[in-house]
Amino acid sequence: MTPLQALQNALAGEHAAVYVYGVIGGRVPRSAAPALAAQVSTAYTTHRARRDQLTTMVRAAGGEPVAAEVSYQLPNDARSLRELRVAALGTEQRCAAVYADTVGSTARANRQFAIDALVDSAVRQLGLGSRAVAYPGIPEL
Amino acid sequence: MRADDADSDVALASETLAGEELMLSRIQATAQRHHKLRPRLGPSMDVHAAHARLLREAAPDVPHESTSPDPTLVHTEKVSPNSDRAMRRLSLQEDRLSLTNRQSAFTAKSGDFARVLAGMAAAAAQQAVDFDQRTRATSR
Repeated sequence: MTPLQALQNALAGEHAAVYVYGVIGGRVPRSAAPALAAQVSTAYTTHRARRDQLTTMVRAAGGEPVAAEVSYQLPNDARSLRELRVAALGTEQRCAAVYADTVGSTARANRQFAIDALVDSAVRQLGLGSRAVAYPGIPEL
Repeated sequence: MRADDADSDVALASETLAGEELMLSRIQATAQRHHKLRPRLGPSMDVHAAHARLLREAAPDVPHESTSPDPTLVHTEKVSPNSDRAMRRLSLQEDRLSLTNRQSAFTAKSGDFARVLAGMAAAAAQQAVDFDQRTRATSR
């Protein structure tokens, strides 16, 4: 995978994450689940910022940033609190995997960006109910 | 990959292995001092043991410690008699290890190796947060 392809994959992942978190954020009852609502809000802001940063990085690498899809399929109905948390966790796990791949295909500042994003995603997974694992983002290990 | 690039990654593997084994021995020492923490610390030991195992398999010629903790190291690093303080110290040490592994991931010449190191950094960051959250939970 070329560095540009890796960055485009990461950008595509962030488009999906922004969409999913946007949907989740609209469904989490803030009064009934304030902690989850805060986590989702923070995650949405973080992923949106990364999306914007990756758009810049792709252009700097000479590419035309991949566009977001019109919509994305959620992993479940995302109605109950449990389903909403699972949907958010799945999003972070996918992002972590994409960023791990991006680390492997980039260098210097782009690689640093991917390293930081992977670590952030791994930590965020804990807050969404995942247990700590040996290799976040690297499912084959 | 050029020979000198491979050499630098071998050196990086050696440093990373030392860091992982040190973290493992610290967790083992804490578990030895605070038996009630053993169920919690077992999975953390598994994480760092897995990291050390992979690094040894990837670079079998890299000098490393034995799988058993160095008894002088275990007795030299004092574990706090207070279990919460001991856990907070582990959290801080995991944070430092995560930072070190992040730097190594940035430096690695091989993309595949960088990916693995970044995964190890992410794992240590998870451990740091997990230790910290559990300490806060028991302090309430």
